[in-house]
Amino acid sequence: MNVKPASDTPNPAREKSGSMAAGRSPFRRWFRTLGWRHIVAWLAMSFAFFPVLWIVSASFNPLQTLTSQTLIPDSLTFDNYRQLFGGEVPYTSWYWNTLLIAGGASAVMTMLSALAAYAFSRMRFSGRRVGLLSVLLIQMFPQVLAFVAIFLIMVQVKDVFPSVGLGTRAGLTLVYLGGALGVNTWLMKGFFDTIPRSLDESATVDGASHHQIFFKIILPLTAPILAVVFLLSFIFLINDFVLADAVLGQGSPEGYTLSVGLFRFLNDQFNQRWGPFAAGSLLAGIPVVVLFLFLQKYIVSGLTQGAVKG
Amino acid sequence: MKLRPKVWLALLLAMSMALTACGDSEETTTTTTAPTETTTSAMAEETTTTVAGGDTTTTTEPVVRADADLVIWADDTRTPVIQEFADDFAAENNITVAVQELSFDGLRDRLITAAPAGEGPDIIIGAHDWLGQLVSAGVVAPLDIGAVADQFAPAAVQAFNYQGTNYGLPYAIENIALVRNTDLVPESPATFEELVDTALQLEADGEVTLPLALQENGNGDPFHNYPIVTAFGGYVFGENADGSYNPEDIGIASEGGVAAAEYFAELSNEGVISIDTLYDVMIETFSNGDAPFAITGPWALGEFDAAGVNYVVEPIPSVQGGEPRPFVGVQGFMLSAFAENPLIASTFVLDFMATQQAQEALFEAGGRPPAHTAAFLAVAADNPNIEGFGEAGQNGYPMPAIPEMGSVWQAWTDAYALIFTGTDPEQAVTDAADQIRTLIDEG
Amino acid sequence: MTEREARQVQDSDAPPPENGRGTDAPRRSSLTWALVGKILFLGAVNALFFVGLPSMLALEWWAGIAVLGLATALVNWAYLTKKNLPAKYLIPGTIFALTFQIVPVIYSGYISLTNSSISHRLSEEQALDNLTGRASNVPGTTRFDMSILADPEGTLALFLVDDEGTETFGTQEGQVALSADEVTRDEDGDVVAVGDYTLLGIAAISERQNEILDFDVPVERGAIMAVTITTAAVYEALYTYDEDTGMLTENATGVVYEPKDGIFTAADGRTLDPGWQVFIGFDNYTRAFTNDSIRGPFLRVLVWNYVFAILSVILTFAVGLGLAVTLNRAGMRGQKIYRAFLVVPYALPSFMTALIWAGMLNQQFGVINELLGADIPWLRDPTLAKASVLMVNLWLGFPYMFLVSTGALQSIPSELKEASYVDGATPRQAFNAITFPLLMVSLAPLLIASFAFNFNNFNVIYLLNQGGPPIEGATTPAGHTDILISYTYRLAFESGSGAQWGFASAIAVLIFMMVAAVSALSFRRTRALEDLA
Repeated sequence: MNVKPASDTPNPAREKSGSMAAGRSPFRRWFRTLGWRHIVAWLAMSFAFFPVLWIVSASFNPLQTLTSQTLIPDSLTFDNYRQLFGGEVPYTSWYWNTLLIAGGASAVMTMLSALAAYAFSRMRFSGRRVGLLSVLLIQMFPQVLAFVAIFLIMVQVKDVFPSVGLGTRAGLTLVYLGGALGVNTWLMKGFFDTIPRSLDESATVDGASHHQIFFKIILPLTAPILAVVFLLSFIFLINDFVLADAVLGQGSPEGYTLSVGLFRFLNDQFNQRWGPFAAGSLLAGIPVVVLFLFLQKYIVSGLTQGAVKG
Repeated sequence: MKLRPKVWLALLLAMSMALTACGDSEETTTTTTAPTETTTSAMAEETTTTVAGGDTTTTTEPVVRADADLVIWADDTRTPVIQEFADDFAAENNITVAVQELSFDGLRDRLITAAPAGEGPDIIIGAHDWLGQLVSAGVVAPLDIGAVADQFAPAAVQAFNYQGTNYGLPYAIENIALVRNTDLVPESPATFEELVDTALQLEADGEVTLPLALQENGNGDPFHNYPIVTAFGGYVFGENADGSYNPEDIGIASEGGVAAAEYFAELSNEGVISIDTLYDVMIETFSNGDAPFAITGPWALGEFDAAGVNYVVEPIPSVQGGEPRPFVGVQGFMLSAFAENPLIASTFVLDFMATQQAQEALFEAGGRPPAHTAAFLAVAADNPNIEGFGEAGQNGYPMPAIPEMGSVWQAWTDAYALIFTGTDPEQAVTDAADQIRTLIDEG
Repeated sequence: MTEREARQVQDSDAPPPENGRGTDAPRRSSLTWALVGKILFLGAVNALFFVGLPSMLALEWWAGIAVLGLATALVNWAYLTKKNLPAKYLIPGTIFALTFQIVPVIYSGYISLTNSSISHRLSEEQALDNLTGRASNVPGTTRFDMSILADPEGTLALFLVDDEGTETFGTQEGQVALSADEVTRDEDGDVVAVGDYTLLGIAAISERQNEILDFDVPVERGAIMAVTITTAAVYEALYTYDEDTGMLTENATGVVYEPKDGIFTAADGRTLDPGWQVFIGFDNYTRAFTNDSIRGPFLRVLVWNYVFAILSVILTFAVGLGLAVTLNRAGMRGQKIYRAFLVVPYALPSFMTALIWAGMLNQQFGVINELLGADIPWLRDPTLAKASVLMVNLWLGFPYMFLVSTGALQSIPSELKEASYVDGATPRQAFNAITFPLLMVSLAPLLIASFAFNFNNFNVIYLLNQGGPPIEGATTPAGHTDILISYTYRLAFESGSGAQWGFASAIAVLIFMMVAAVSALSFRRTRALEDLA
């Protein structure tokens, strides 16, 4: 099986006409093809990064209040970071809990979502459209109330299966899995639809069973979307406060996730500690950025149908 | 539906697994009575559980439970202190105590949800103005503090009395007062007008940037504005003959309320106060000497001290001849109506937390003036600022505990936001009072 | 895919054709592994149900039995039969969705039909316990130092010392005087036994504390009851409950309260908190439609809600897609770094960044006005506040759109585009004619979901400006940037006597129906798009 990346490959015909229209200057030509893209990228990055710089600056600023911050602090300090790891708060265990829960749940969610997307994409069955619609609609119920319901469910679960009930990481992971089918299933289904069915069919003729087709053909071909969905789920879970607080919020601080821990930390009555909070949030963003850098090649240099030969 | 052989195999296997698993679970339940297994549930594992006096418990009775013998919910400032006393209590009585830390605001809401579901604590630490909601939700139990009541400030005891029943043991009284930078303003102003003149003069001289650091949170802050409202005779709820609040009588747009609103517009127009004074800004400007006066509570002193600014705490001087009377909040220990250990809980609260020693320790942690009279005197002797807050709160009004207070905050806050941005003050407070009436009627 | 093809796929679930013989050994071994995995999985699921069943029965948790039973049955049905191929793929996700998405929605629907609120939160039994358990200290009585004792049968009794030092003995019959020889003391003079009754240790007290609290020693007026483990006092109950009539009588006044709509109510209408939760049909819904306070600024809020949700989707999608297309160019240097940096706003916890924005937009102290040297009321002027909310939401949301667009762009076959170039199309024409429609196939549902998400985007509205600035002269407190959910939740949680879950749930159900209807309609349009693929 031979595939090639499908990114916006330069097209000889277009290059030619482009260069003619752009005149003779190599700079203008460069500008018309690539340069403006850099400019747009820089503009977007400054918009994206301005508040982030602010957070970075706050994380090194010895002043603890939000409004006393300036973009370039008068003096620099690592105290805010030291405070996170100095034992005052169990920041490292928050971090570890978050990676464990968000990582584990995202992986399973991606798998569950892929299974469902495969069915929706490849099979025709009664209730398919209703199923697809339900998957999309069910997540639209306002979450503000879900807190109470989830809490009460987990209280009961705790009495029957203590290891996955209220206050456990496994319990929160299970709660998150409830969101596996959703808009991400749609995203995947759309991608699966673009994988030509001739592939499945030829495999079927070769005697492959449906699960072999799914695991051996479809999944490898859809790696980019799996990566995207994993990343989206991971980010969503890292950001979640409501459900994490419902399930873990009553336990000891060691059991919190980053969002619950940091929010509590900031919101302690009359005690707004912006410096350490900024530092803690910045560090919380690192796994996502690292994960993105790592997954980028799967996300971007995707494999597609048209390129499949043989 | 016809089952294939491998499917039968699967079913059989499933059944056998189910049965083995059942057997296992029975076994474990019978073995958990061992004395050292105090932490059988995941929940207990994650809480700070203190096992008393080693493992030498004589196990004539099956004392072990999934949770600790006593569970206390406290916020972050209180947790370490309570933990110390809890450890002593646990050791003395040979039981286990778990102190769980929750955010102060989260405590109340979570108690209402968790307690009836059997997941609540035995004791919570909270504010007296929660009582209206907690009592109507049926989640707090009466607590008879008759034996120790005379050792506490009467106002604090009264605050925990809701509809004739006592629900808590007070430990701290808090209210706002005037904090004055003694380097910038050596003499205390005799009147609020004098205060304003002094402050504006300092601003004109370029000595300060904010004449009065009155916290407005960016939206208006009725809690911090209340002393000035009361100075003009305004009020939030009228009082019944027995001193309880009457939710039918809303005094935000009373004659005094309107006069106060107009005075606020004036202060805002003169630039004495700013709606942008967030808590941060208040702390920052006063700490840096950019504001000569602040109106705030004991919770801010830690940060002023850290900044090294010289200050005194004193009552807010009279405003146009009227006496400013702040809201007074009382914090204390309450028992859950769904406590699993009600008797142990009341013992802990009444025998361990009602002492001068405990109340002083709580002061050390939270900086709030103790409700225990002897503890207050001891603390105030070393700390004139605590005395200052006490004096300022002398004539304060207890924060209404009635549930109707919940309908007040947003409308009242909005009224100030509108006054600050130029709406006619009388109109703003009249609208707010109407909004509050609508909300209360709709409830 | 046609029905015929689907059948083919289904048929492939059968064992491989025998004519394959020994040629494909690897496939056979993978089949065996699959079988083992399947058996383990099925075993685990069934085991879970049968392990949980006894304790669920004991707790009478019928909903749990129903959900877990249904899940187990679904799994067995799907994986033990040859048919139901789609179910094999859909069941795993569906079970979790059922438990943690659908059950909470059903629960909210149920709550919306009850009077559940802060004073109607308990069950009737819990509320009654609360009221009958209330007692007041009888004025003028003494307090006692107390020791708790029990006889060999476990019957409780109290050894009492009043404030004058008089020792008495309290049983459930009453308080009796003691002679010195009945009392056994240790060397410190502390009581260890009275007759047959011996002192209870702390462990026993802890074990029996509810019994001890319920134990009373009747006296002339009221009864002596334990306050702590070492003290007691005289109390009388505030209310008496008559089980036959179901009435509650206030002992001090003789006023009779009867249970009505989930609360004890006197003839003059006075009620006794706490009440309990009862079913009230569609009252909460009627109230949502007829309530003056809701109708007040409702229309303004609704219009802004749609504007906010729709503009948020358009803006984030336009920026996200634009950037994705801009950066999706082979041979562009720094591509990876650009992409990574653009994801950063999304990588940071959004509640944090929303608060940071609020600080930056502060009129007097915010960095934005500081940099501009201006005094712009970003969050205080109605129009600017709306623009600010949209801008912050754009900042928070464009990386998501950027990510999914970048992902989706990869799925566009480059041949299609190349073909269009050959036909003489400009890049823009190619984008409009080929790339964009194809993108919409996979992205349209995401845009719908994004609309729904933003329609209820409570966090950004609340964290940035609490819905402010306030609308002047509104009948209930409402702000210019309030959306339905922030506005109505304030009503449900801050009006009257506090949180009203029944009412809030009814509102949630109504909002859900509104969003779902809009989404379902838009979804019908994607049907046309889908057929393109």
